[in-house]
Amino acid sequence: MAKKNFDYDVLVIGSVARQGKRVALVEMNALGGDSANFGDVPAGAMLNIARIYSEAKNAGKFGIRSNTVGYNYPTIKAWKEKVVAKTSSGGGKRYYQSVGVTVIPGLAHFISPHEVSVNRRHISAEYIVVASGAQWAMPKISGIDKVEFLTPASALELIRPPKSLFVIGGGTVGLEFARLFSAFGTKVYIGEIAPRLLPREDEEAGKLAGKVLSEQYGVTSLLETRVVRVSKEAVAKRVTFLRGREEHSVKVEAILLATGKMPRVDIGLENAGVKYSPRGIEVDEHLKTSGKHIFAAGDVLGGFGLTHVALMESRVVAHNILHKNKVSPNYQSIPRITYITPEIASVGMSEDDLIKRDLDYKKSVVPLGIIGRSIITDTHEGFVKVLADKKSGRILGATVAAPSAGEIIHEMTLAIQHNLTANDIANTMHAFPSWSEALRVACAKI
Amino acid sequence: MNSYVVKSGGLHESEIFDPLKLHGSLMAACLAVRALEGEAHMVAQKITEKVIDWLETKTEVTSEDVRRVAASNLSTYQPEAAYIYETYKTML
Repeated sequence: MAKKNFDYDVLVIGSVARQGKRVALVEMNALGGDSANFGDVPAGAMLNIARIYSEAKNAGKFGIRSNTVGYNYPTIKAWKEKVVAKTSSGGGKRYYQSVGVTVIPGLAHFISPHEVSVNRRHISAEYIVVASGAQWAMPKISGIDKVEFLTPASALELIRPPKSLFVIGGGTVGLEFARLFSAFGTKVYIGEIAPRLLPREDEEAGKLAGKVLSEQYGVTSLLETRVVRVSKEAVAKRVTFLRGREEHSVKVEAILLATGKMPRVDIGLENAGVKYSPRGIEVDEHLKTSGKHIFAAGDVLGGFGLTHVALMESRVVAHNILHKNKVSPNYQSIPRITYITPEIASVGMSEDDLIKRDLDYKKSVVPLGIIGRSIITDTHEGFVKVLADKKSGRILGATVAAPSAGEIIHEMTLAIQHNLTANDIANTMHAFPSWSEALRVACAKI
Repeated sequence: MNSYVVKSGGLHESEIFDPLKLHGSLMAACLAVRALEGEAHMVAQKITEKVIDWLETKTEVTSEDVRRVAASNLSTYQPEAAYIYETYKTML
């Protein structure tokens, strides 16, 4: 496949490489990308500790002496570092090299359609995969350029939890950080422009998240709130926001921006004839860009911002480079998880999606409290919601708010992927006592 | 950190980015649309600073990149000059 006048068959910009032919990978940060080094993995490690800490503190009712439970933040951070180092991609230069991938550290910039410059070294390839990821978007807030603020990556590097924190953005990432720091005693405010938290998820999910965060962790959710100004006030910061046409303000120690990511497209794409917009690189159904030999995958497409979607897309790209029969990514059944307590996981279409598409559907919402496992563990907050096609009963979407919802949701992912009906799930044996029983009950009610 | 600029022409020769050269070409574009000399100097200075900021994380870019970024910034202050600046090669 290699044409001799190119240095490589395939050059990957960013860390979603799949081993194939003569492959080179250019990565400006640590190998593995944002998720493994600055996102899902370190945040997941910290959230797991926050959950253990909260459970230990509240274990008195089970006969556990929990009066003296405390935490040591440097040790928590050291654990997080250990987890990052342990993940296969974290610092895995040797791994990539062992599978024949040349790793080139640096920032890639296209200088011609087949060539990029990395630290002034010109590297050419027959095919190029752009997986340059995304970066946190800077919201238009007066004074934001004059005040020190946290990003989800830098928030994980704090030497201690802040005394108070204003999280701008009530989506998945904002809620996870609210959950994390509130567990360690931080007074957290969440400012969200939408009328509910988790605005992309079903209404029940956002309402439950707000209730649990407020009642159990003292988090103040400011909905329908637009942050208009931030300023310094001695060592603290003042956040001014509009709510119900009135201006309010709050003084906090730290501000966290969790307002979403923007694709990283400033890599000289014009020099390669690749069409893009600030919302991402344009691709066809085979993830090919307007440059015939250039493909794109992951967050740079401006889609879902999920690691598993990026991995799926990278497999599609690898296939399409290596094979003549082209394949397309399947976005029908993408699981999404918010790691708060209880975990909130969803897959497929939300109720809002169905209404927007004018589809006839049936829904079933089952509170977690009716399940045996709920009584055993004294866990009552949560629900399972299933959405199915009115005629066929085919499952179209589901939301699970329960402990281990991130695991439970995959039953629904499989159902959507393989066009199973609610009846198929209702007739499948589910172990007693298990959280998954709630899914069977919800499907039986449809 | 010095940024290098790959010159157009296909030979891939590069040279260190020269802010004065950029400033000069931006001034010329502004003067071509009859901007006052002081104003042209101020705008050229502002755009050059923006290009320097943009280059901060980049080791090597093409001369087309510099032209594109400069023109895009120039269009905010002097749209007519930006047009001249962007298309001057086509017009020659």
